[in-house]
Amino acid sequence: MSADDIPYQLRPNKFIDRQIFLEAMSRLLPVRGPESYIYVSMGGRHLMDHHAAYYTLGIQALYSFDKDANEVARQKFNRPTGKAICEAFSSSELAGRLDEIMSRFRSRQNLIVWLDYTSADRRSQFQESKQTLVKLKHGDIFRVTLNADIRTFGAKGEWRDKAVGPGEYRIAKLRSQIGEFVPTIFERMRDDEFPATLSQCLKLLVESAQLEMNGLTVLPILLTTYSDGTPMLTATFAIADPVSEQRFPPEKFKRWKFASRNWEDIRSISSPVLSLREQYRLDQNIHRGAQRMLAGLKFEPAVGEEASLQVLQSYKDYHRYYPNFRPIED
Amino acid sequence: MAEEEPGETIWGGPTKRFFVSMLTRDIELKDAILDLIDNCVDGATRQLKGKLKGEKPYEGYWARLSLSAEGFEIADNCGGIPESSIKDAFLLGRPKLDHKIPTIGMYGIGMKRAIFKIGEEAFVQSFSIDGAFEVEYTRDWLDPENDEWDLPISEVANKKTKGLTILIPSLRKEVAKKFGNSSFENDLKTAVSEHFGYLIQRGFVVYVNDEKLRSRTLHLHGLDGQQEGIRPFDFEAVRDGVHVRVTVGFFRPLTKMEEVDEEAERPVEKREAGISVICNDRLVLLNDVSMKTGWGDGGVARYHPQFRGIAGFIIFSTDNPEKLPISTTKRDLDVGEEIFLFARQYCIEGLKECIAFTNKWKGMEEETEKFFSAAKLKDARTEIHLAAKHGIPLRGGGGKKLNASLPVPAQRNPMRRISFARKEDAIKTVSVHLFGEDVDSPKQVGEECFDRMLKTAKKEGR
Repeated sequence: MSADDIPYQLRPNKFIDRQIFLEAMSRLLPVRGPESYIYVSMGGRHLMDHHAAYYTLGIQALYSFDKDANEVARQKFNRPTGKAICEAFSSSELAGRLDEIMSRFRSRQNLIVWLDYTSADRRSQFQESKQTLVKLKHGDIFRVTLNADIRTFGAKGEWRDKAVGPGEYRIAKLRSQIGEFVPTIFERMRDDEFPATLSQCLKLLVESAQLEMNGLTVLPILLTTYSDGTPMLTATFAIADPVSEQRFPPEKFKRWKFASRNWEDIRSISSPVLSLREQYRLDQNIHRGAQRMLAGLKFEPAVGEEASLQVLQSYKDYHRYYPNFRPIED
Repeated sequence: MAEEEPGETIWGGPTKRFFVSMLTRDIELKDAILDLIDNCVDGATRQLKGKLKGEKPYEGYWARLSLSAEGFEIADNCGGIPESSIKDAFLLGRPKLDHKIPTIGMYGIGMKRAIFKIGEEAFVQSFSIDGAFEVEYTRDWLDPENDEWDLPISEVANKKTKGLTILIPSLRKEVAKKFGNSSFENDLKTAVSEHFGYLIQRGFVVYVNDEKLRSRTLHLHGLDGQQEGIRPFDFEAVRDGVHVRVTVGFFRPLTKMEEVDEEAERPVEKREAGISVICNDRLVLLNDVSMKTGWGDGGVARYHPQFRGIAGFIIFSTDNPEKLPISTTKRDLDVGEEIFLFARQYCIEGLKECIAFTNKWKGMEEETEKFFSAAKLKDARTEIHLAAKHGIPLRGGGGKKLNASLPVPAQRNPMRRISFARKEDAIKTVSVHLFGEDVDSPKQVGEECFDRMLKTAKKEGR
């Protein structure tokens, strides 16, 4: 079963992550207007992102791709408007097709591109991301989701006989995958450091792309990590021409609570899976601290008090985005 | 007899433009910086007067680089330029060679070319035991139109640390862009760790923007001595005053056929396979998989992802740098040199043995993992001395060789690989038929089909 099959009420953090992204877009798009943009992403079989881009952001130029022809047929069935284009090709071909995609929506000048990866094929994903980035222009937005699960470096104990410790083994494995993007100073990676490590790797990827972007800069504007079982890192970038008269992103974007200030500024989303009743109880106490919210529940929503306080703090931070749809018997 | 009238002559000397804006195109920025570090190492080697025996002869010597979009500086404690060498040091080209010192610099152009490549002006300060001075490359001097060749030199106060400092306060525009880019900085650090890995291993220290760089050297799976199991090919000899060592083996377990197929569809791993060439402890060629090092020649197959675990090196060491098979940039080989061709022959032998091993276990790669687990990774230069300790002498003398020891599968019932392609929907149909669901791996579907048919065939006795 792919992640696409799991309903959003069972992966609230992915849902929250996407809602934060939509809010970021709602703050960025007014500079050039939603009419300037084409939304390009893999989309998944139900084209949830495209529906959100259309209904929430008002973007009408929608484009999705998937390597599976049947998935594309299903995307066509589910597309929000008849104008949305769904085509069959793999993510490795996207960079080479961007000009063609632009020509299909002649009046649009800008792109929002989201490469929503789930697997740990990091080498191809980093290369595809760079190839895509170097094609982008002032006012464009690029977003990439990467698998940040340390279990992708092998089973527990696999490091024995191969490295001095598990952290050193993980870094060595990461170097064998994307060595040119791993900072030389990294010697090891602790259990909880993968999202932060990947963020620094993305920084080198972006800097490497910038050398080929004729003076354009790529700014990290939203860095999030979440887990609904598999830890992921999502990074959103604004492409800007520093000498352009039209400032992008707008100055006031920095004032947004979730805007990332630098590559270390990663928002961690770890809200618990809640029933409607639990959610209502928490919402009654949302103005209070996590401790009071926990006391109001009378049970621990995660394993142990510390973890419970952490997930409740995360819920408090992101409750505005928490999914509200539920099966009726919930 | 009347004296013969001299004929007319024309100026056949160099132009400033050739040096400051043409010669710099022959070298990449990163390599130009590596040239500067090479000079630091050459300075340390001179200080050591060739006494390079022991594990860490370079201990205590360092080079420190600082680079940003604003400027560049490299400083070392490697002795500086002695008064007797000042004139030669700033000539464009070396008038005579310093024999008896195992450097790799021969042409006397590296430092100057790097300065011309990087900056719009520069200061070279030397603090040596017999004096200290500063030479300035002004903007005027670096103007390609300016035919003035004299450089201003002045005495400066000497320092306790004897060494050379090159300060470049204003950078060329394209260089400033790269020096301000953290991806370039990271690539440079990686290149230094690789190119000077063997020198760092021997005690030399390089800092780039305050980061002390670690050595990146070749590690191979290898058992000691005559033990059965994975053991690399190892060869060493002395020829015409050059010590040659060739070691070829495996740095990772065999590539499985699924991995080879996967690699054909998309890049999976950073390629670390191939042969590196090291001249007087400096890396000249990294992980080569071309004919330069014997791939696709002399009966060796061309490089293919199946050989992704094979790596090795050719090491040349000599007190006479003229005998090293390197080009003027010091980052490439002169592959026509006789000494290189000699070493390449043995590299071909090593490659053939390793390639044959991958072929013998094709389709059964997983069965070899126990051999790799038993033979731990070792630093190939410092921990593998198979030819020296256990090698057989070469015919005619002058060297020793120990062939690789690589286990072979039992021949009675060898494994054979079955490989074919079918349409995705057909595989899905068979998968659902066999497993009740669409499994992820087509290989699993193929194997199950075969196993069931085999069972039926055995049962029916045909």
